[in-house]
Amino acid sequence: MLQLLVNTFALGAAYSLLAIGFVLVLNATGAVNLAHGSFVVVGGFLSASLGTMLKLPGAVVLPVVLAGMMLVGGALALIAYYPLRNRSAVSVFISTISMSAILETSTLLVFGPAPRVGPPVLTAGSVELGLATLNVQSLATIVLAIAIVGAQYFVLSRTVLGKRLRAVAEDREMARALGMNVNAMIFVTFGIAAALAGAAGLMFANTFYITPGDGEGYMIKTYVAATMGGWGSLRGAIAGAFLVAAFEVLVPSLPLMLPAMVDALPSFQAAFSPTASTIWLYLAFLVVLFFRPQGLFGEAVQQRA
Amino acid sequence: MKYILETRNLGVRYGEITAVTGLTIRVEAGEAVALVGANGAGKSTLIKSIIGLLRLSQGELLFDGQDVRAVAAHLRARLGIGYSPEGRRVFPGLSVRENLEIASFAGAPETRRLIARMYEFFPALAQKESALGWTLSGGQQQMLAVCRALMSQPRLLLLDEPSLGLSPKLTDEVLWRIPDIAKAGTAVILAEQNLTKALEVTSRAYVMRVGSIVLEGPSSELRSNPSVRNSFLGGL
Repeated sequence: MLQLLVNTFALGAAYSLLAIGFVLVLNATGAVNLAHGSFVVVGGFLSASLGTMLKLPGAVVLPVVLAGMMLVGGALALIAYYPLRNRSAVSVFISTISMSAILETSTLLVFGPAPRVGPPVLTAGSVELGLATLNVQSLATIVLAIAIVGAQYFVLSRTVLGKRLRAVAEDREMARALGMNVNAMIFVTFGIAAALAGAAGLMFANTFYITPGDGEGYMIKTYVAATMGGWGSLRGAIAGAFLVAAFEVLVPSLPLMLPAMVDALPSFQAAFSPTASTIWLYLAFLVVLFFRPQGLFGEAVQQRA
Repeated sequence: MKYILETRNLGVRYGEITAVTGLTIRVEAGEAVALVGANGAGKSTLIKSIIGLLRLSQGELLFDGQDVRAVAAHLRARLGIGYSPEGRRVFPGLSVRENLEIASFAGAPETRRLIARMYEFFPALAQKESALGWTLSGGQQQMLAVCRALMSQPRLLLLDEPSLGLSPKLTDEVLWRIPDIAKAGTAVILAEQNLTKALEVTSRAYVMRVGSIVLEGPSSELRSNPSVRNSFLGGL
């Protein structure tokens, strides 16, 4: 039971990294970056190959992955956003879909179609904690994700660069008129978003495994998390990420947790199988959209959609 | 004579529509100049073209003797043009202090010193230091917008309709700072619909009407000139 909660928390923490980056770009540019899921794939493959080559744990490889992903994010902004920045949001929408295909196909060409396993954040194995046996990877993922979210929070709230990034997200024209290089700020934002997604890729590459076609699935989950939490809200993105994780880990575990229900209602097991829980997630998503279209944390100072 | 700002025959078009045309104005260093006219006369258009948010369709624009037509808006700000926009546009999710911090391009100690000076200028802001922009009253937002524009230590400050939506008392509180700002060496261009107040706090003024300058002269003379008021009433 405790392991289940730890797994949910670990998955939610990793999804949070994804959702935060997505929302940062959304706020800074008003554009939906549909290549965000592909950052996970590139980051995952990058850490898998570095891990295999260097035989080092993920936590050590991480700085290289973060730096490499910042460059990937900057390049994406240069190719898919910058030339289209004065066009409608739909143009960027489409250009990022193209970039997503380019990123994933490049990964396929370079690394091949075989699934890869990334290095564990610290080590494989488990630790005994009282009566429970806990997976080290899950615990390390949680600690690492909290550290990264903390660092990102520190940058945005305490450094002049971070405050300017927020100003650009709130009013680009005003920021420009006050002397800020808005385009440079947007490149930085894309870089940070890609780095956060790359870090999530590093975690997923070990917890699951990673194939070049995984981007789409991560993209949809990111989108759902950001929408459920509240379009444009960072806190909402984190809440949404944990909701998605809860549906993926806790809902399929219901038959396990409630054996009495399975005895009484034989279809209970099928209704909450891992596959069926996807349906529950999207049903919940629709319910949130229906009753709270602004999302769970939607009242914050936001106007762009 | 070297001017801090000089426009020659400046014009701006929105697509097919000519917003302003043939504007020639000159502002000396440390001088406070009013730009008065009714709503729609083209004051904001002129201001926005000076900071670089609008492109000139004709004419010249010189800042401190340098042609800045091809200079990007953010670099014009760095050259020494401060801008407080119509509607104030403080960053709603940033605190008062953060709004000021991000507009300074000096080092941290100098920025702290500047912020302290702004708080002396408008003590009401000091009390609201950590309040977010959107929670401020209109008057506080206006004070913040003016201070934010001053954080880059500009040589020219553009103030667009600072009295809009403020009570007469608050308007006084903001506008009466203008002579002090000019005395400290920053030239000011004040775009205002509030004719009387604008002419009280500036030394010279340009009167605009439907995109052109129709009158110019010392503010004290324009105050007693009946045709100024007429051009306002006939402005729309």
